[in-house]
Amino acid sequence: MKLIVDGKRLDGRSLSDLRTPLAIRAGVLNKADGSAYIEWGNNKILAAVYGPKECIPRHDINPYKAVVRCRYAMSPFASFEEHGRTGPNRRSREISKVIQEVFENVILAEQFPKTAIDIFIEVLQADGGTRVAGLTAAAVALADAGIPMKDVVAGIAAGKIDGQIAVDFGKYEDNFGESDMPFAISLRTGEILLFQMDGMLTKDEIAKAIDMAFEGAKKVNELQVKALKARYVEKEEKGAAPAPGIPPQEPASAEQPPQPAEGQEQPY
Amino acid sequence: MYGEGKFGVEGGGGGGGGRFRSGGDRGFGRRGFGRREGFRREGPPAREREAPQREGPEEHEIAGPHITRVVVPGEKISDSPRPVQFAFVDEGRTYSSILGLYDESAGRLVPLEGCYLPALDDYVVGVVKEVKFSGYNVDINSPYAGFLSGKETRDEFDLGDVIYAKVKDVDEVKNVDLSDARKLESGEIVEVLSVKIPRIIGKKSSMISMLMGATKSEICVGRNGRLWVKGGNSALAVAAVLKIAKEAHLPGLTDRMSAFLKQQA
Repeated sequence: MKLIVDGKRLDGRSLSDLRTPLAIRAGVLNKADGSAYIEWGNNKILAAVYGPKECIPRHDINPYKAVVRCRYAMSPFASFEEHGRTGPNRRSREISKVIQEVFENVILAEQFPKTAIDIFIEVLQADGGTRVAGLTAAAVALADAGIPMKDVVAGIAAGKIDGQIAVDFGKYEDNFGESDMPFAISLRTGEILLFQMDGMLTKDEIAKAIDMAFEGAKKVNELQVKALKARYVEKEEKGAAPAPGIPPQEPASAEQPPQPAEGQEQPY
Repeated sequence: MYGEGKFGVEGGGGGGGGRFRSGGDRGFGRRGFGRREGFRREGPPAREREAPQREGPEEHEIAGPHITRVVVPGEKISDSPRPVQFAFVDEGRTYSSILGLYDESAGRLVPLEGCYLPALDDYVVGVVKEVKFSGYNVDINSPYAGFLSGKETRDEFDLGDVIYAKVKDVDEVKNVDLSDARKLESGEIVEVLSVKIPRIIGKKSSMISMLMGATKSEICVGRNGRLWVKGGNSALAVAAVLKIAKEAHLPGLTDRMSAFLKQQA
């Protein structure tokens, strides 16, 4: 299967373009302490954060810092195959673990001893690169929850398709390409917090892929920051079109008093 | 639980704050508000037995126009190392650790989100969640539960009672001891993010006094994000509190609230 024809990929992108739409919205779940929704290509992923909160079960408690727990899961309807099969499997446990380790390394957990911070990533629709999209949303959700961190971590994938180094792969590029490397990057320091690899590359190819990943991560991080700040700026940027499927952000308006929706009961 | 409404996907502008009534008979309540809040000391553990210094004026107390901007974790706020609360220093530069408002002229970083961390001398509105032989475990809307010793209070409380108490001690492992508790009878509880409470209290309690004057309600402000409202035009008081919490980061709030209260009264 040819993935690149005349310098263009299956969806018309160049090697360094990210998929569209790529949009993030913070604060989408009322009950969660922090939340974010991301659409990245055909991926639709929801992230929620609860915490810091009492750590249960008690034997997990760390007396010196918060324990960071992460659950990545794909909903039963997320992919084209395997509808209905649900529950944790090897792959989702692995992804949960590597994403947990990303955030263990950026959250300033010492400020909350004996508590737990729970991160939930739920993939509603999957199309390749769900772990990087999921952790991108989770980073926004953590900031939205007010949890202190050293940086907002951006996720991005780079690798080789049809002999060329490229970034951000859809499902078919993932499956039929030569190599796929997901990254989690802290742009403030240039550190890499997640680095995995499928396939085979030479050292030079890896170096080139890392460079392209950093370029891509910058673009992703801009969107993360924009999503967080959008909740608090009074006026929206003129001409900023919200992504399809994500309703336009409503910043706190100075004009209207907060009214409950018609017929909505106050919870007692 | 009883959370403040946040922006939902449907786009209805938040504000549906959770409310619950505390049971019990009508009783007398003494007036009181939460202590005015400055900085809370954070950083290395231990030494919380010292009274934390309430340094610095509130953002809105600084004369003259001051530029604030929203900052995210990891965003640089200074090229030199500066001791700013909620910020950290890395290789000689200062970065924010939280989603917050940074005031350049005052060098102050105020969080826009976050849970309540109990601090010495804070007054909090708590709910008794366990009655033990030696005292009470109290939910203070924090990852850390409070404990009210039987020796600290003359009254007896029941499971589910709402109390107004003072944080007597927070030790190195965040065990919270409460004292000076009194029961809050009837009325209702509004819960907002605890980081919005200083704005609800206002400079020298100006904002909360304005609310109480306009609504004639009794209001007890808990530094943990819970307020108890009773009597007067309590519905207006609750709406006003939720509005302040929602717009706390926008300038000119005092005037807007004054207009809002006049219009709604």
